[in-house]
Amino acid sequence: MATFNKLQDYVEQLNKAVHNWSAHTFKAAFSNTAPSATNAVLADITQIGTGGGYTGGAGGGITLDTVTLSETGGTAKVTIADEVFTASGGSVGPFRYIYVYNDTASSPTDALVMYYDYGSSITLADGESITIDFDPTNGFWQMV
Amino acid sequence: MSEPTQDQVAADELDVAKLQAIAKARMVTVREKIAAIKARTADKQAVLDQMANEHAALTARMNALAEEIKAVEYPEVFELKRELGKLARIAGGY
Repeated sequence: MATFNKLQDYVEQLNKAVHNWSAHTFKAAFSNTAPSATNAVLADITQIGTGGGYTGGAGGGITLDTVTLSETGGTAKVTIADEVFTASGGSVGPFRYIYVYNDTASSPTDALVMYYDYGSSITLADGESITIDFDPTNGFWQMV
Repeated sequence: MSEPTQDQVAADELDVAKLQAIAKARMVTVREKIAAIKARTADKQAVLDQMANEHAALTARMNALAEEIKAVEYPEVFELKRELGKLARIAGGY
């Protein structure tokens, strides 16, 4: 199970209305470079290169679906549909970290939210898949 | 400790009245200083307020459109993507 790691700048940008979990587009980006908790934007990280169906660079990664914000009893919760990425036309990786970032954010551009650490590097052979498994019960993220 | 005399009580009340008068006078001065500083940023604050109003209106339109999209996609896409994830794991993926 991949571990959830919050990036420090996220809470500042959240409170500056940079992130809108109801309307913005969030993406997952793959990296094999050890993260720093102070990474703030997509340009701060080293994504894997384009290939095998994965698109790197600015705005790169995989678009996340049905990102939904709800609130019950004063606790906000964000749920995200599981995302399956399948390498196509070549291998993808190696990568160990999957970042979630806000592709809509423009100031700062592509503001990072968090990253998952899969513990060791993964390389997808052509046709192999990885599932980003977002918790359907507790949500991707909660704010009390 | 002995009880204060009437003269002492009167003197203390006079001191309190003086202190309150000084504080009230100082409040006027401090308020004037605050107003003078804020006057220097008033034009920028007006522009900021206008921009904030425009931003709020745009956000409201974005949220409404997002709700329309979710009304079509949710929960079907969410559930189908979960099924896809389970199938991918059964198929041997990570």
